[in-house]
Amino acid sequence: MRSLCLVLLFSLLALPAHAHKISLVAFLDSGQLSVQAFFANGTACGNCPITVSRPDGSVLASDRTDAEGAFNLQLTEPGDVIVQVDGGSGHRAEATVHPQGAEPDPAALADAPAPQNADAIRSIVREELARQTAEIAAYLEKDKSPVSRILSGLGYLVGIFGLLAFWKGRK
Amino acid sequence: MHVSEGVLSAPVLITGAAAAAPLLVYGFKKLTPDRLPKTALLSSVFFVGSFIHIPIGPSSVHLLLNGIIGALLGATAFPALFIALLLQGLLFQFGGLTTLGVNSVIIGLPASLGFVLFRAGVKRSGFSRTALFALTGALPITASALILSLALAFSGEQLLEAAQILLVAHVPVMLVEGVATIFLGEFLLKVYPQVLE
Repeated sequence: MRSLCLVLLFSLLALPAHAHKISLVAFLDSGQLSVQAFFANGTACGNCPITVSRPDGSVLASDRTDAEGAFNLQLTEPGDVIVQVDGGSGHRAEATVHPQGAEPDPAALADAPAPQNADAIRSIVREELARQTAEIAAYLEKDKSPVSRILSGLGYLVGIFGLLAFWKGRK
Repeated sequence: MHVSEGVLSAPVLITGAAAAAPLLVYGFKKLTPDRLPKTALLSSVFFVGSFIHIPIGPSSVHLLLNGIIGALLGATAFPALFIALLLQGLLFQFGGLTTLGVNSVIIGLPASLGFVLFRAGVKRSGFSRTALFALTGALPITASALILSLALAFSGEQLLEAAQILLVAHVPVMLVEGVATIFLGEFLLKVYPQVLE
């Protein structure tokens, strides 16, 4: 029993989890959708199938993330989108993305080559920032400290079995 | 191996829950107070063991341990694994809550296979014991991969393709756990035979 407990404690130093769960972060601003898909320990989900659709079901894109797990799409219509990423072996993540900031402005997009008005510059900056924000959000979401949650899980286990012992003991 | 929400079809989820329910009830009935400490400990072992992963190329798989746990617990392995899976689902989102039934069957049902193989190994000696102990560790993982492939197949993915990928990916885990079970089994028989009841 004791050696088993020791093994348990030492295994807390184990490598972080991988391929248990796939997560995605997505950011939509000025029609620029930026998505970052990654596994539980932060490794990017490269070349993973991704689907972008509208809430009514119409599919806007059915593609794959790039080698770093990123996917970018320029939308021309305003409104929410639903993003789904498939990590394989039964793992899937889905998120509904609401537009932040401005809606896509077709006039500003058409003006892209020679941005002379402030609005066009603003929308270009927003597009770039959307990509950066998705990367930062993905970084923050990484499972940086699973140890504390592992310990809380073990605490729950002790608690549940303790309750079971109490319940069974009364019979 | 922890299937997420939204991947499996409703019939598969319902079948999984329906299959898990009687196994859970039976396991709880067998959970007498004297068996509680061992069950709780092995539930924790599974919980923590899932975080130990073996890298294979770009991806990796985690330790399953359902063979050893089934060998040591028998019927109470199912509730032990179910509770651990429930907590993993709630705390880490490893697998969903609707998929809890299916996930429990995928990991818990082969545990009984581990129990049978281990008992058979204990009764024998020499090479047959070593072989049976190795199978106790390895075969339940194969069974888990196969049940998972079936679940995915009935939800739309190609069975053969899914099965191949899963089995190949888990071969290192099968080898590691097979070998580990040989040593663990021999150790327990010599030093703690009472843990095998």
